[in-house]
Amino acid sequence: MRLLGVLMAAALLLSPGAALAQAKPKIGVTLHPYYSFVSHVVGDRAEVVPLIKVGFNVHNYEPQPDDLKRVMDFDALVTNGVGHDAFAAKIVQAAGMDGKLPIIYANDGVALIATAGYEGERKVPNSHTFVSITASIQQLYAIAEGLGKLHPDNAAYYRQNARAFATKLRQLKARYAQRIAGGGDMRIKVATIHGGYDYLLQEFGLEVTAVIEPAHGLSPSASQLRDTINKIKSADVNVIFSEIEFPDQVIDTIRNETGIRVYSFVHISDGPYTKEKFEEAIEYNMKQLTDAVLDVRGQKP
Amino acid sequence: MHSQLVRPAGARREGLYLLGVCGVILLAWAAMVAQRHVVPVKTELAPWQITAFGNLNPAEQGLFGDLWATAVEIDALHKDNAGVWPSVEDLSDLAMPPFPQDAMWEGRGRHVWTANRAEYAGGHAVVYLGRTASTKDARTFALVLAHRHPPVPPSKETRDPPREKAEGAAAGPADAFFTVWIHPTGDTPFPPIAKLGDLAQAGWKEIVPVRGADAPKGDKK
Repeated sequence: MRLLGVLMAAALLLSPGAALAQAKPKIGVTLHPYYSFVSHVVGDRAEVVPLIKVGFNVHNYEPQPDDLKRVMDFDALVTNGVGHDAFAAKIVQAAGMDGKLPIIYANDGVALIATAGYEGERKVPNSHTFVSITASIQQLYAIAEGLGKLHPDNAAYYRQNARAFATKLRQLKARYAQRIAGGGDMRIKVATIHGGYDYLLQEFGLEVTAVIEPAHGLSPSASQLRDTINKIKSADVNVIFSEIEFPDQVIDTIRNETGIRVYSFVHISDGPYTKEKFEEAIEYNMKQLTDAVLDVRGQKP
Repeated sequence: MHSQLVRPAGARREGLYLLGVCGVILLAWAAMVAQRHVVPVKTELAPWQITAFGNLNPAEQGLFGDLWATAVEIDALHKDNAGVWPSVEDLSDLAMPPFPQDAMWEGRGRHVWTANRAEYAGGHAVVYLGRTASTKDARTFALVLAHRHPPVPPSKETRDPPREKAEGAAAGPADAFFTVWIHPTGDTPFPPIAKLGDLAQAGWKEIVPVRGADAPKGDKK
């Protein structure tokens, strides 16, 4: 009788129902930085699952059948929600999950800045809040709060994790701010290949004078490139920030025609999804940025 | 007798088909353009408000963005620290921008930050005042955080008039809110806390951001 009881208990533990009861909630994410943010916030208490597979360009992504199956398995979805992952809304709708799947819009409380390159009445919000430290920290807290409402037992744990990662990121930024402290003027004129770095540049006190490619994924035509080169020349730009994915020949042309130094950023939107990705990429970007500042000041390390 | 209707020679029907095809192409093109078109955000402003999108210079935009993000953390610190607002020194030690005197501080007006706390009926508040040392770089800023203690609802006497009318302009948890204000001079007196409505009368302007929640809804469901 006693043995029967043990066997029944073991069977219960091994049953799919028991496995389901112990399964961690699945939190979907749309972009690489959000994979990192959510992984840090939930720790080992939830599974973080990318909505789309590696290798696609998120700027022009069209939903795939696999995405619909995947989203139906999510307990919540964390999104950028200001233009960088519009595909998520299409997938949720196509999967019939509208109103059923809790969606956390990480940027709802974030103060957006206008995209450099769009002037006057055409000012539009910049969706690249994830290529920054300060706006990312605000999103971390928003994610912790949103997920905490869904899992009240974990709310304090999520907030604690968000704060720990935020502290780490702030210390990282302070280290790079220290590199350029007390060394001279921050009024450096900057041109960027893509409008995705405005938040990072702004928090380091750099102003974008010209944007070469306001719309991502579109290489400038010959006439646009000529206009850009003229604009950079007339704006008396000190440094150009490109991105690693941009065609080398365009950068070489700009460098050769203008004689201006070029540094490259990472857009944090490709490669494997990892918990460390954001931290590694943003540190790379801060190193590039501070290298450029030191270079312009004639203090190149 | 066999009869057959013979249509006159002409291109009328083909012309209609062609017109139809052109119409479909035009509609498809219009739909595509509409989908790709970037929609500027419009913000409704009260007389005491300005928009972070259009009324701040780049240094001020950076300062505002820092204050707006740090306000969330200040509120969290206040909650986790038995209702004590962190000091300016605390915030600087924690490297919370814009309080550390780092390279960015140098180029954005070298603001001198002080804090003033106050109790009021139904809650308490703090003002972090950053007086600019260089008005040509950036104006003076004030970050105001207020924390109501439920279950005391805000009465007409305790409500903050600008906030009341600017509902939706600021963000924060249900029992707290924060606002960021700007003043043109560097030697402005400390803003009144007990009655924040006086801020507008004292020449302060509330800065209203475009938040993610205000962005075009086409990206959301």
